[in-house]
Amino acid sequence: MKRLIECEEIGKTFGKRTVLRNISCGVRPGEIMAVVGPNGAGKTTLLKIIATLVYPSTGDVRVTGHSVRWSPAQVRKAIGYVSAEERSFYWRLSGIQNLRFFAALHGMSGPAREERIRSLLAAVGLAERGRDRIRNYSSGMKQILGIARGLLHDPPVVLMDEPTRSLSPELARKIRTMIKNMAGEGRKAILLSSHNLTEVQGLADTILLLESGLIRGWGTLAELRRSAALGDHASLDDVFHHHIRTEE
Amino acid sequence: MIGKLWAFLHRDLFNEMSYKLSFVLQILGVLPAILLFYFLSVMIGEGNVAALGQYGGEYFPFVLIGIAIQNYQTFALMSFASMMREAQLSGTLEAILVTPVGTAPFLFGSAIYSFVLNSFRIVLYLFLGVVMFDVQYDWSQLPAIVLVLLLTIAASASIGILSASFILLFKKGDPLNWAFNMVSWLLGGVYYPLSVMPEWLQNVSHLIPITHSLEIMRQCLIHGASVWSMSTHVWALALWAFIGLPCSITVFVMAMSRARQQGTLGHY
Repeated sequence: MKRLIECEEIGKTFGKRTVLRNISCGVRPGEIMAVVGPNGAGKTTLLKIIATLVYPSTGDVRVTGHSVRWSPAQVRKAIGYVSAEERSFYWRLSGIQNLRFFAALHGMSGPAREERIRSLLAAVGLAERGRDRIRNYSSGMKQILGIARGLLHDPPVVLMDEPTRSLSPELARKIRTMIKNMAGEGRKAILLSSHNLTEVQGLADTILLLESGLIRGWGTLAELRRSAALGDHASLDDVFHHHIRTEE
Repeated sequence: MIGKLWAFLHRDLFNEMSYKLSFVLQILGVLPAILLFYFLSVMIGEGNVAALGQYGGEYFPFVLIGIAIQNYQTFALMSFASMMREAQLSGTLEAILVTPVGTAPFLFGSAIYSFVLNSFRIVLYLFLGVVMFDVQYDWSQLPAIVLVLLLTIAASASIGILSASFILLFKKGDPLNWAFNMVSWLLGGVYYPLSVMPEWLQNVSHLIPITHSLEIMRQCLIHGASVWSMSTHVWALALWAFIGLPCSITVFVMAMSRARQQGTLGHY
């Protein structure tokens, strides 16, 4: 099956600092790929390059066949980006007003937009708080509103930067189930970054291990175990520490 | 495009209305300005200033047009950069730019609330002048006046968008807006006729768009002159608008591209 995200030898330097080197990987429809690595490994930069927020220095990314270099507008139509930054809403507006604004930027309007917002708020458990101002939301609520925002236009590609970072265990489980269900429909490619290796082990179909901007491993957990010569019962934590030499 | 502009307008209207006192003060702020210049004009008296002769001899109708148009220009200059800075500080810039919004709807959407608010204020300035102080204006050229206002906004917006490009890259400190506003305020003929300045400064003032806007507006509203009888001023404004605006949008696109290369879109 053709990949919805195809990274082709991406490199990124900021001044003299190289943050990504020759990253080639991809995500197919129905697949969840997790990017894991120590702080500063380049996870967020990789997601931002795919989201067209940062341009690659070398290489290219194709999202649903469109290049981030040459057709960024087409790429933006195809992606839903869930930022790790909770400071990305209008705090004096309500959750619904925020979602209406971002939905309009995706060209959505009328009853279809209202229905989509209603169903997403219900799906993330914010139906009762939609009319409250964001400034009265907890960090976790802002986080899940960010997930709802990323899914507004039902994009084929979803990028999630640490989607369960600020969430309670119960809410994190709910979001993981939601992510699983999205991928389970077989239409969406999901790329997420996380520091929670247990979560990644239970959620991801494939894992990209990044360290200092370099790929240390990419594949299913079974493939990563084999490449590390670890047994079938080795956890992702074992695999991670075998591949990633840097201590955090 | 319309739906996106509407979304920006809604966003800013609801946001501003949540600051109730500030919202009311923005409207009420018109009144003290009018009173200030009314009392000043009473002090100056009618027909005592020769330089006002070509504007009917009265200071109040003259300066009322000046402050109304300056208000409009200030909005066009400031709103792009201030919205950009606010988006950086609130962290919403990346969230917007990851959508397929497009440069023009993003730029003009960011300024549309200020445009509507200041259009209301300009009407309020002139309305209060007419109703409270019996100022007589000639409205026969109204459609042409609206066209001139649009050209004024477009001309000033070109500087405003350049300023937003500066903010996008350097985050703070904006010498362009400051300098342009200051020069317009000093040399544009807002508070006094150009003829009171030395000739060489009068020549410099013709490089500033507000000089032409004010001349057209005053001749139209005070004397009922036809806009087309002032074609030199209209052309000067049009030149600013039709050359300046595309150039500034191009610079903004380049600044955006540079910020994406540097990975600094989300920085503040």
